[in-house]
Amino acid sequence: MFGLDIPLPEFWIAYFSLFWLLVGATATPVIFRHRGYSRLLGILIGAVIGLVCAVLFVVLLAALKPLADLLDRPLLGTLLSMVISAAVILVLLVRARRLVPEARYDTAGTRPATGGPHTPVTYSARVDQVDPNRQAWQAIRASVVVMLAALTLTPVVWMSMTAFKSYPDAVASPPKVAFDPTMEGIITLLTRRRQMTDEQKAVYAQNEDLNWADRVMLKSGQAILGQSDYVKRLRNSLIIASTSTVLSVTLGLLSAYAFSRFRIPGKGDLLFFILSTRMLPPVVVTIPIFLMYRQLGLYDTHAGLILLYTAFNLSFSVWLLKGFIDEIPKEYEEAALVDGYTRLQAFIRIVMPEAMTGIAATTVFCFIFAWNEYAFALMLTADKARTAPPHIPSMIGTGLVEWAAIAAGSLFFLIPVVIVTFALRKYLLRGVTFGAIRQG
Amino acid sequence: MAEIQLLQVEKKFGEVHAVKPMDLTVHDGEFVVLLGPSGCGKTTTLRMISGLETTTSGTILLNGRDVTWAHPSERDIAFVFQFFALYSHMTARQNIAFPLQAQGESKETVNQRVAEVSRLLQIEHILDARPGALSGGDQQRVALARALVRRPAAFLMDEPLGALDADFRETMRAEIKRLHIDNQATTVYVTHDQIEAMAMGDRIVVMSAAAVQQVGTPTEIYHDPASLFVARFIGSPGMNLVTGRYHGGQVHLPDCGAYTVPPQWIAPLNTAFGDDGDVILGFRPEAAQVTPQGALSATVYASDLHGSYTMLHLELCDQTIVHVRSSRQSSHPIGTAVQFDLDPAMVRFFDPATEAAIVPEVRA
Ligand SMILES: Nc1ncnc2c1ncn2[C@@H]1O[C@H](COP(=O)(O)OP(=O)(O)O)[C@@H](O)[C@H]1O
Ligand SMILES: [Mg+2]
Repeated sequence: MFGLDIPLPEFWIAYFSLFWLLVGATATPVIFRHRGYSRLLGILIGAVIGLVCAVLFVVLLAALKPLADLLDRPLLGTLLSMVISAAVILVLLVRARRLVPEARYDTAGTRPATGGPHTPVTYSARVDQVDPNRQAWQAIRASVVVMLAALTLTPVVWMSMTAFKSYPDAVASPPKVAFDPTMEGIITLLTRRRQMTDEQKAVYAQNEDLNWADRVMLKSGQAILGQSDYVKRLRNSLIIASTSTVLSVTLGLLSAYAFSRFRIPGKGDLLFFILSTRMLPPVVVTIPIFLMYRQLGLYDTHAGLILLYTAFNLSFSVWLLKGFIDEIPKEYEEAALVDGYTRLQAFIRIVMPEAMTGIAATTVFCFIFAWNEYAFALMLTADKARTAPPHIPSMIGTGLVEWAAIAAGSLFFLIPVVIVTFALRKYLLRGVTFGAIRQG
Repeated sequence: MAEIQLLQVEKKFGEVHAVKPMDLTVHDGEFVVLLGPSGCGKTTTLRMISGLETTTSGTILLNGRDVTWAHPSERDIAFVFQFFALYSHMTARQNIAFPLQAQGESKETVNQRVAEVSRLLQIEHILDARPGALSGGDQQRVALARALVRRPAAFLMDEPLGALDADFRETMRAEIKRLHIDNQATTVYVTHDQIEAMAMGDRIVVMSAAAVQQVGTPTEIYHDPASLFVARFIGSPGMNLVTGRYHGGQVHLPDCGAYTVPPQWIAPLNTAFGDDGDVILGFRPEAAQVTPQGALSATVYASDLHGSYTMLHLELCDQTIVHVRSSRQSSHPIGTAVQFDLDPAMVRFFDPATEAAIVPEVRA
């Protein structure tokens, strides 16, 4: 779509202008606040500085173009000139920082010690953390991260857009950013249709009981016959991924608890054995498993894939959860035991909540693995239990490629992972427990 | 309420004894302190009483009922752990209510009991905080509340004050003692701090190297230590122990003169050593008195002012140092020779071979 080798493509100009704007608007207020100005003033001036930087960047890049052309590798030339321009602007920014004068103070009492932050620090922080230079640098780094994140999200955004494009919009060149959104792609994805001749269309249009989906498709002369395979595939994906996730997390939790708390003969060897199932690339065993599954009648069944994914995730979940359970002092359960609870109750009411962070992390990882798995799904299923990953590529059949439908398929495929991760993010982010245990 | 009895209770980890066979009876309403240096098996003993650790052999009786193999939850005992073990995912209130919920108490009862116990421990204002946000003292109070709320038959406390600051420890010590006086609940309290043990215990069980050294009231433990270990371990500084030779009604200290044994000790010493034998003479710092007429001579090695008294460190001729309390006023420059005498009622004798105390046959 875009390439670095295209001289100053609009996308990159927009992208970097945005970056410099962000740098200006986040780093400058830090300096201004430390010199005693209001934050708002800093942001305003920062935005202006950011704009200036963006313009400067474009100008510098253009100025460096002849130099870059001297190299016979255009990509390298562009990269080099971008790095040089960025460095020049950064140096200028760092210099300009000194130009910001200290604000005047009305009362002598508010003047802080030289070099310190302007406002009293009323929160917990190390001295170097409130250093304006560091904070400004932090802001620049944050801008870089935000822009990188934006870059990674661009394909996803583009995909979401394509999902709502009509066929001509989807294949238009140059690509369209503004377009008429339509549900065509999504309906195409979810239905089987029949192409109609003009006569048939006229008759079909007379129908009273057409719903909105029928009408949308009527525009391109198609009649909806029924549900497409994709719905089935997605349902299979959901069933298989969630069942295997629940199974591997449950089994993993129980065995991790046992490994963590009980005397088990050969514990180390067992743990190593569990880990060793991870040591060979799964592809190696696809053929043997295929043959086995055919014999066992597990080929193209939900149970087959669930079993396989559970087995694969189990090693991971046992090891990950064991680490988290090891962290929980055994006194926690013992306290519950003397207080009149059974071991199972103590496990459910104490160990599980305390290990929630670990359980959440494991759930997300197991789900993503099972959800994304492609090779086994391709080999071990045909129709009944086929999941979405092997199905999406197969939608690019012969003839017309329905890009909108494919984009919609990928989008739908993305949603469950996003939901699971979002639902559990509180635990994922919480990290280490705010433990009440005191190590003395 | 409850009486706890340990009959020849023993715990081995592999071949290592964590607790050698011990007998102990904790009477109903008694406050018994297990005292000993780190690693002597105090925690293990407590855990065996609670059922968190199995016994290797022996029997544990609760109110005469054999509970050796009973599940911890069937013993009706509350345990306060060394590092509190408060559940970090629950608020203080939920932590305190947790044991009651196990008993299936109604909501009103739970609320009422939690309110009662938090009023008692003055933690009403922190009930909705999570343990992680509480100070050590408050965490300790919550842990105590969690133990108290259930009104168990007995309390087991494993160094509950160990994680607290020194001056706060004093406050909490008084609070725990006060709680015990109010509730008269049978309590076994573990500590390695002999001052704490002396201050709190109705009786003290001194342990060392996995074995019980002595069981007795604080006074007995202090004044009549059963062994050299107890004599050294109790008191700060511990009992002064001087090796000498018993002969002809006197203990001869090498080059430092002889100490005439008080008459009530002659018979027991004769029984123990005949007329000639090595003996260890023991006396507490406050049993010695520096006087010009004293029978024993020494040089002043150092002296520290303790506010209300001065502790003199005296060097005997064989270079043993003894600690002697003297009044605040008297001053003894370092290096001067002094004479001191011992209060005849407060000297004790030990057999260096067995390390045990010589017991007077008839106690006055
Ligand atoms: N679970 C265990 N496994 C092996 N040895 C242990 C275990 N628990 C305690 N011990 C050992 O038993 C001895 C007594 O421990 P403990 O009862 O904790 O001592 P204290 O509480 O008096 O400091 C120590 O030497 C300790 O190393
Ligand atoms: Mg201990």
